[in-house]
Amino acid sequence: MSSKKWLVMFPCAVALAVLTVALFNILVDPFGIFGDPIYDWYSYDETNNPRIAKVRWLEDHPEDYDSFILGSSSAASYDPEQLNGYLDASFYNLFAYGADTKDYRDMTKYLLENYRVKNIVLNLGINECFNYDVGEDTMNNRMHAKVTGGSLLAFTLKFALTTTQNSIEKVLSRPRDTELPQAFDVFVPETGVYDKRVRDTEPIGDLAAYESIYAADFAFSTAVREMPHIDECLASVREISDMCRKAGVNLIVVVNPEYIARWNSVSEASMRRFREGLAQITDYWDFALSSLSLDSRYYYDVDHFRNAAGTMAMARIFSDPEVYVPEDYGAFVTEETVDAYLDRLFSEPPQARMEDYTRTLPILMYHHLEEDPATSANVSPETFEAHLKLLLEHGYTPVSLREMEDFVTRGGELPEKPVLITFDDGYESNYELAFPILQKYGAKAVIFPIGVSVGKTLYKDTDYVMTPHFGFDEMREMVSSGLVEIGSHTWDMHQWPPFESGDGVRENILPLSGESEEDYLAALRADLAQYDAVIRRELGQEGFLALAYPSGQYNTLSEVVLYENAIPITLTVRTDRPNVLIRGLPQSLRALSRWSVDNATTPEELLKILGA
Amino acid sequence: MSIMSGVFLLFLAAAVAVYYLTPKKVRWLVLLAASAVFYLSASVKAGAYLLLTIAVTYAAARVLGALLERERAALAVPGAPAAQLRRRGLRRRRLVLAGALVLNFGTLAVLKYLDSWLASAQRLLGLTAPRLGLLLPLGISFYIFQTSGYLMDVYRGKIKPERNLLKYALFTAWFPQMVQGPINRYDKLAPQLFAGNDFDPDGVKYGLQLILWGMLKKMLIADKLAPGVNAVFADPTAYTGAITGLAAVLYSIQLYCDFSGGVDLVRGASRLFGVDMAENFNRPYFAVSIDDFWRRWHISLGEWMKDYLFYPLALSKPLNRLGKRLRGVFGRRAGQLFVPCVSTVLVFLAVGLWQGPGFGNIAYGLWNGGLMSLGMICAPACARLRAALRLRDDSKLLRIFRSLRTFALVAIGRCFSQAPTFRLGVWMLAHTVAAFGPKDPALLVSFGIGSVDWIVALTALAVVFAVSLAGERGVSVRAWLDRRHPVLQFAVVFLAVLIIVAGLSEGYVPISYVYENI
Repeated sequence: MSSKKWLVMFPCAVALAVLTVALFNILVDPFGIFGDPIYDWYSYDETNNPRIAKVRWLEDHPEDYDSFILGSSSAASYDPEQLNGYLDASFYNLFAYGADTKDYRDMTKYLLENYRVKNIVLNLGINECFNYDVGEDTMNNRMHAKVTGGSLLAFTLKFALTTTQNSIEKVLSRPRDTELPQAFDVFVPETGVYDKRVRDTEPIGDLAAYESIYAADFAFSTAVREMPHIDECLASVREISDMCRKAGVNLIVVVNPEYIARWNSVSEASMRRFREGLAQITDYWDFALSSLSLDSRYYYDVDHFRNAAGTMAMARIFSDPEVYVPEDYGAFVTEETVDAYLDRLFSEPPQARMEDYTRTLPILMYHHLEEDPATSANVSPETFEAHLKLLLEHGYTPVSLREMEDFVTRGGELPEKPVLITFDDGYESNYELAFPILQKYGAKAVIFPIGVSVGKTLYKDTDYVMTPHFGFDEMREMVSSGLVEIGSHTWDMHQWPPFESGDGVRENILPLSGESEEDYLAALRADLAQYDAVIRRELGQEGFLALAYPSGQYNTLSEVVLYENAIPITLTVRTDRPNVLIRGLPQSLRALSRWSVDNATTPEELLKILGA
Repeated sequence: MSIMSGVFLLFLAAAVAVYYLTPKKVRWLVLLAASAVFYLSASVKAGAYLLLTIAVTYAAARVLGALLERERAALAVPGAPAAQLRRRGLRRRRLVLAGALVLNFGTLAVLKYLDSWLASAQRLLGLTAPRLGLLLPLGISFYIFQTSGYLMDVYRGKIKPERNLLKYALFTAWFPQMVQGPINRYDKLAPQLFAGNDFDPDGVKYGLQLILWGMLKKMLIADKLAPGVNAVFADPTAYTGAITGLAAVLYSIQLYCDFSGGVDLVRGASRLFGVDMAENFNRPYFAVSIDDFWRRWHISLGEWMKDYLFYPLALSKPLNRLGKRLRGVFGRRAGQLFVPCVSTVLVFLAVGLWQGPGFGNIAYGLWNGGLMSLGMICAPACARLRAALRLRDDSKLLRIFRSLRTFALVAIGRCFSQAPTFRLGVWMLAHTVAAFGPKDPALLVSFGIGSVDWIVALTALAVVFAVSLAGERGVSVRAWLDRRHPVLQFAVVFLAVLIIVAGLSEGYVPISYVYENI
């Protein structure tokens, strides 16, 4: 080829290459700017850039939302669905990590110009007074040009011609996508919140263990600083407030809960100035400092309060009697009340007494009862009665699952020294031998029958003879006594290999070896649904308050599935940590420890288990 | 602006377009304007240092030129005392030259070494004082050498000083050479810069090819290997001997692809304007000896050192006098070898120091200079050994052995200067031998280079190796490709551009050139 021809060919090759790159980026769309035509994977796109992908999501769902939550990553903990219930609205959580009040102002303007808006919840915190107008320089934090009003062409070109690295990463991540969120897909596109199912099902009762696991996340410099951007923050809020007033939009301003170390890192003068200024502009709810600030378990890390704390905040604002809210959590501040409020805030530091909002709960685990037991694994009625008497004498009160759940979610009462008595598998002996003793002492207990073996004396399918299990009549009788609750031990995920024929024996709730995540989830969900249907039919009971894991085996995925299946309490057989129920933190009901008790358990051993 | 960026390529395209659309007479002004934009966009403050150097060397050269003129005029007068005039002239010129060079190299020394020397002094004296944190202007090591070479050429009467200050500024600040050389010579570069070149399709095509080739070497090999190499050199003690050894080898590959890739890019850029800059590399890892290596690696620096340091040293009276005296004591051969050996060691000491402060760089220089001297001393013995082993000089096996040996020696030398301290560099080499076995073979793929990056880098390296091997055998892959079907040619160019566009746009963070901060 002659050099002249070559020089004609060269720009063609360049043009084609540029076009190819643009096409690839547009089709794979790692930032969700072009509607993600191939993957439709907004949890990934929002993770890459929540600002842009969320704007695009709204564009694609214009009729689905009429109310919005604005804030940085703290605001991720406000649940749109909870607000929908309070305000008869359709909320979308428009939070973006690293966002600042300039972004909120631009976003408000954009929303009001493009959507029919009923409510805006605006979250402010310490971070909003520390950062202003940052982040535009990175691909992950850049705001959509439609929001900032910049050149749409330049913006689009920039993302079309970005390095293909981002697109390649998305293509490579796709096969690694799992049910649980990973670093590359942490958003729930339908509501806009973070997918926090993993952290919201983690057992967090033991404070010492929690603080040691997350020591690094709560480490914070204690140097006291002034907040540098109070004025910019307030100016933005004023603009937002004015825009909302003109448009007739209900604006709710919330100052978010802060962990005590974070609160203490800011000077009182700064805190006062911000709050005084804010009260001049709008009424607001202040959740920053309360008894919650003193307990790290209400926080994911030093900068982020838990979803549970967000739920309590919204429940306070809308006076929801169904949700526990500590008395000192949240204050409504107006121009008139701000001075008195601030004086109180800084003169009466919050108090948090563990005995007010936590209970340590030992849980005992029994199985089969038997007169003259052949092995010590089975318990004689005399031993069981002796155990019961012993714990009553020492001031322990057997409690129910309902009371536990009530304590945690609605702030109900629990005796000072509660104990939970449980029986696994659903043996007939529980009805014949244990139930009369429970009635004699008026003691509560929970039985976890395996669904498939209720009322059976022969092993399913293979007809091997097995220890008899009580039937639904007995179950109804026990439940109606008010002393016994029925929990789940799974429908049929506690199989006994010697009695089974064929492969794929499920001894516990964990996936079989080599089972795909999809198959496993289908099997687990089917098992749960089956038992739910039967228990509704037989007992009129809506689902289960608790599930005792067969053999105590569980993993994060099973915890998440049960959580989604509205089973608030899960029990294991671990004994390495105490159970601490915490008001307002439903995750304190998860993966609870249980201590196995048998015929050989001495009174001293039992008292040791109880922690007496 | 980084030369590895879309912005630079657009800037380049615009400059080329303006250049050929401008009347020939003023085209050099376009080059000057482009150079000013390029340099000032990096740092205005650095521009001040550059201007200082331009002013000092321009003035000194003009004075030197005037002195020479006067000397010649005086000599032309019949009956003039020639010897006396020459001596006096030389003395004056020397004074001017020395003053200018002290100023020139003094600037370099202060900006480049002072902080490090102060830190060493403070360490020795146990003091703590703040670092000066002086700015190191882009390309300073290169333009200081280039202007110093120019001064010495004027001093020697080899060239006439440039009278037009702006033209001289262009020679000094010609933007393609400002990142990492090459170090150009006035007599070669200046005429091309000032000529107002015609559009030459062959040259422009070659320039574009060089740009693509250089960018690919940098992106696909150097930048892929850099994270792993940097991690190991930052803390060699964390790795087994196999990894430290591998890192030493990879560093040499990375450095070649980084440095030569960058120089290909800027030579290509220069070529787009019809300006041919000095060659800097000639497949250095095919060299059969250290001596050969330094004729193929960083050629423009080697030539500079040869012309302006080695010869002056080797021809200097004191050294030769000493050599003669030694001949009497140690024999003829020892005396003969003395001068070139000492000059070589001193030259490489300078090369080491040019790289940077610190004992590691001095060791690097001594290692190379020492090996080269050793080569001279042992040459007859080696020839005898080859004869005894009946090895023919053109034996393929011998050739491969010598290339590998040279590569190993070069790689070893680089450990001294690249490790955080000289001592750690030596430790690293010892460790490679003493604790070679990898404790955990998985470490081999997990020390900072991902598996995809390995595949990319090794594939690209295979291509570079094949092209270089062909070149070594006298086959030009470029010419070969020129004769292929247009569709294939298009495909190759398309693929190259695609890789560059895909990797180079918004969001790409270029890794600085290794020699950019020299």
